[in-house]
Amino acid sequence: MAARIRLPLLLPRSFPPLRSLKHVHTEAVKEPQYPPIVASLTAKSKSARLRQNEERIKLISSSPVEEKLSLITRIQRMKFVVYPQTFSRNPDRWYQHFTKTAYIPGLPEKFNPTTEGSQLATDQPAVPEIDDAAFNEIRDLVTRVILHEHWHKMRKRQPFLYKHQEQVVGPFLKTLVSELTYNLAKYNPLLRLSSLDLSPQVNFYWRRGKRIIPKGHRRGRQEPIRFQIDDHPHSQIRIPQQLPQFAPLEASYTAEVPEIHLAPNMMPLFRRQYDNNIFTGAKLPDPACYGHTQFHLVPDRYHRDRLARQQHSDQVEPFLRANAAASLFAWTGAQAMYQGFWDYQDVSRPFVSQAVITDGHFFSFFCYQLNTLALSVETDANNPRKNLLWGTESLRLYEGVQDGAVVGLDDCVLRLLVQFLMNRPHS
Amino acid sequence: MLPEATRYLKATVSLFSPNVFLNASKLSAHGAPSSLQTRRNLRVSHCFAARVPPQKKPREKVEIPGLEMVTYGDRMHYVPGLAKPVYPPWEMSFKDPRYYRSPPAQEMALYKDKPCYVFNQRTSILEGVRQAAWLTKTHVRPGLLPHLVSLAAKPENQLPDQDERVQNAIKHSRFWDTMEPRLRKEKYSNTLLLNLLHLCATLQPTHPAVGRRILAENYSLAATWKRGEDLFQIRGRNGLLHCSMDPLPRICGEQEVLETSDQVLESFYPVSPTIDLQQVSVYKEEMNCTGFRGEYPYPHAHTLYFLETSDPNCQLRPEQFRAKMIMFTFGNALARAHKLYGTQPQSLLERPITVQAVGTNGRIFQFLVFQLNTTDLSGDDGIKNQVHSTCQGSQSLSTTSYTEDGSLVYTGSLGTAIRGVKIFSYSTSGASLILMPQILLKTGLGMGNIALEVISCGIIGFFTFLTPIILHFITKGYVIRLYHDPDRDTYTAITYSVFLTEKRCVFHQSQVRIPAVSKMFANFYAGHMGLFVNPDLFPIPQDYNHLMGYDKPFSFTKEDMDKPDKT
Repeated sequence: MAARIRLPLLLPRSFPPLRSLKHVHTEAVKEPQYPPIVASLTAKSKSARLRQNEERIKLISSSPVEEKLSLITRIQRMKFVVYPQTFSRNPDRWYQHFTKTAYIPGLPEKFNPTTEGSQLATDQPAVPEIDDAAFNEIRDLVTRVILHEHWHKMRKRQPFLYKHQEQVVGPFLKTLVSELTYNLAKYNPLLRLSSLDLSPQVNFYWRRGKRIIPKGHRRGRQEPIRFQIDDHPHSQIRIPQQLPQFAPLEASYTAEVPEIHLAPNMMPLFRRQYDNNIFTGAKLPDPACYGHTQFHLVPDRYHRDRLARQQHSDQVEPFLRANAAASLFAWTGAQAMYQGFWDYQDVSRPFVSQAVITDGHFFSFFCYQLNTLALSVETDANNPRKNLLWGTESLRLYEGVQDGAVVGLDDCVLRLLVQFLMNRPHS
Repeated sequence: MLPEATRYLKATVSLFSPNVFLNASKLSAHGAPSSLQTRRNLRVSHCFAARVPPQKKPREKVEIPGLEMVTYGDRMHYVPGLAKPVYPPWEMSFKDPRYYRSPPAQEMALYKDKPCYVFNQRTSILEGVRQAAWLTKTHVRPGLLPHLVSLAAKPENQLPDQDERVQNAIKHSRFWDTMEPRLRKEKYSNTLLLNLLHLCATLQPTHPAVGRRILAENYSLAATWKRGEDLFQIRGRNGLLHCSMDPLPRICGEQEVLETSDQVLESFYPVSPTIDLQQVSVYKEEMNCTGFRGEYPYPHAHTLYFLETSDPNCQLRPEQFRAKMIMFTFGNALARAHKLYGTQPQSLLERPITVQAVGTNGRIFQFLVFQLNTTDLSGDDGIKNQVHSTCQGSQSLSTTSYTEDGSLVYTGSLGTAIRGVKIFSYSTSGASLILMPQILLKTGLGMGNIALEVISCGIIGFFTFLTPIILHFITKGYVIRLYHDPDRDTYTAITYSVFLTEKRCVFHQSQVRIPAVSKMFANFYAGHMGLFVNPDLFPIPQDYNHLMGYDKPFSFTKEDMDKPDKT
């Protein structure tokens, strides 16, 4: 040691015999000489579990879409079954929390008449392609459809208890949707390529939040909370092209999503374990993979007259909002997953769909923009994006039918309906 | 003592057990001679499985008029020797829907002595299209008219990318509609029909006439007419209806309509034309209702759509399904004719009413066009209504294999087996022919006695040569594949020849002759050649009927049976 310390100062720095040895490793080594040091894959340790998750994420990210879906939904575990139409109190706040959706009252600027134009005559149609004559035709068509179902068709007996919506309003809505779609196909060429599903199925499976397992052999460990929506809309229109976004992605950063710190059990929401399904209404090979508009029917159980009898009239609007939030989130989420986006590969463009919820007389219109699918705890940590739901209060389309004529047909509601169906990408 | 007591106990237990009464009532309900065949209910425990004692005949009640029976009614308790009091039946003084008993048919307000025969959506009539034609006084013509078929061939009436879109519609209804592994037939047939209707309706921008129609479901139809002495009605909900603002144009000109008065309706005597129809005695006369009331903006019926019902009790076979289509189309036309022209029978309508119908089971589609020319249906003569339908060759969306011989209608399941057996037989015969002389020479077995040698060679040769011959004789008539050319009505039967090559035999349907005594290896004779087919292996049973000539009209009259061409 002393010999090394007391190196002779007389020795020049660049002593010829040691020169080549000294400068061997001074050049920067660009290529790593060893394989990357990572945690084990099979050890019984937390880092091994983390590494397994990473490998799984890599595997899923690099698979084709069909395999991706089956890998994500492969393992069955207990999950909360979310029903879009629910009897819970104030379900809209809960569902907004589960789906990270912010509610904005009113419709996007696209559907509202522009404020500058309010100086012009108020009866100018908001849809530029449809002039007055065409709108009158549409109004006549809707009148005929209402009378066809409620006046002209002979019914032998009144529908049985709690079957009125299913047996009377259901067929009316079906005829209305199909006739309006075909009539507006001449103004909106996208509807000619669309696919109309009647009584379809829409399913979506996602994870949001964490809980600590209270009891059992896994007690104390963290577990993600899983949700599943199995929705059955009355009818839906699917299109081969995507609708344009209502608002840019960045606009959702400032939106407010209600935070609920109670467990989902408290809603009440119940857990079950069965097949995890992700389905837009048709399987992957179908060319019409994007959604346009969904139509939902309010069943007898949640009809506003029944809620009024039970003194729950204040729950009518939250019920509709919750229905729209859950159904549209499931639909847009499934559409996004069909394109290959998922928790760890967030959507690169917003997915947009519309919904109309009605009980025969009152119509509510909703627009949904899916900005993010990253809802699980790991991916949501630094995610400023939020999903957006625009919606109206319920608006009455017509007062009633008397002596073969429709009384009180509201043009504004009709205009909104037409605008919804005319929505298409700007080509 | 104890075993006897238990036996008596068991007998009494079985007497008073409910199962005894069950057995007794079951036996008597079936109308079998119950007293002779006492059944033992062996499914229950042994105490009830004893033989049921024979049913005792109840004592005959003798009614002597004028004799006042002394009853124990006043005493308010049973007294042996006195008669049981008979009280009038108690009726509630108020109406309770839970305990309402409908009166017997004779006491109902709408009861009539003359019965009415009703055809509803669950009726399956025995004689099929013939019966429907007789009931509606219709002349049935196979095949749609060319001017209708050519409408679809015009390019301006076609969708852009029509083939691809129709294929997508089929794939959606069969594969893509749900997460379940397999879709049920009623679901996919409904989805397919609605998808195809959606495709047709997207033609509305270029064809505004499509927009003057509305699709109605769950409408109730009612139409009444008289045929001969009997009254007939069509009632019920059949399916979807396309109602239109404009009537359909007539399909047959006036000359053809007048010519129908010369045509004779096909009779199916001795079967009654009212067979399988529901006979009701309580009905409203002159019940005519299109299903809609008031000033309906879509008064004319354009097309009816029929789907197969999921009800297991009324599964209709293809013939009965076609009959249902004809009957409901006629009902819709008649109800509208009565509305326009009144209920008095008219022998010739100035503007005949035309209605179309489409029926499907999810794969096979049947089309028909009905023209109502007359509402005077009481007699068998006079002007008739007309139907053009794709009856015989119903169109399927994906057809079977088609070659220049026609379409494949039958594939014999034993074809490969026969080929294999023949190859085996020939190969063993050939092997024995080659090897036997060498074996005989090498081992020297046949050297001793010439007679033994001749006998052994004879036996071996017998089996070597005769087995393939017998095998060929048995299987020469087995049809491997059968093709049918519908235009010329000829069949091509493929059989195996002696050398295992395929031999074709082309024959006309009229050359088919069924032997009076059935032969062992031949079902029918085509000219001189006997051929064998298995009737169960025909995917469409109609083809077998047509091959054997079973679908030719016949009756039991002597002249008809003696005709040489009727086999």
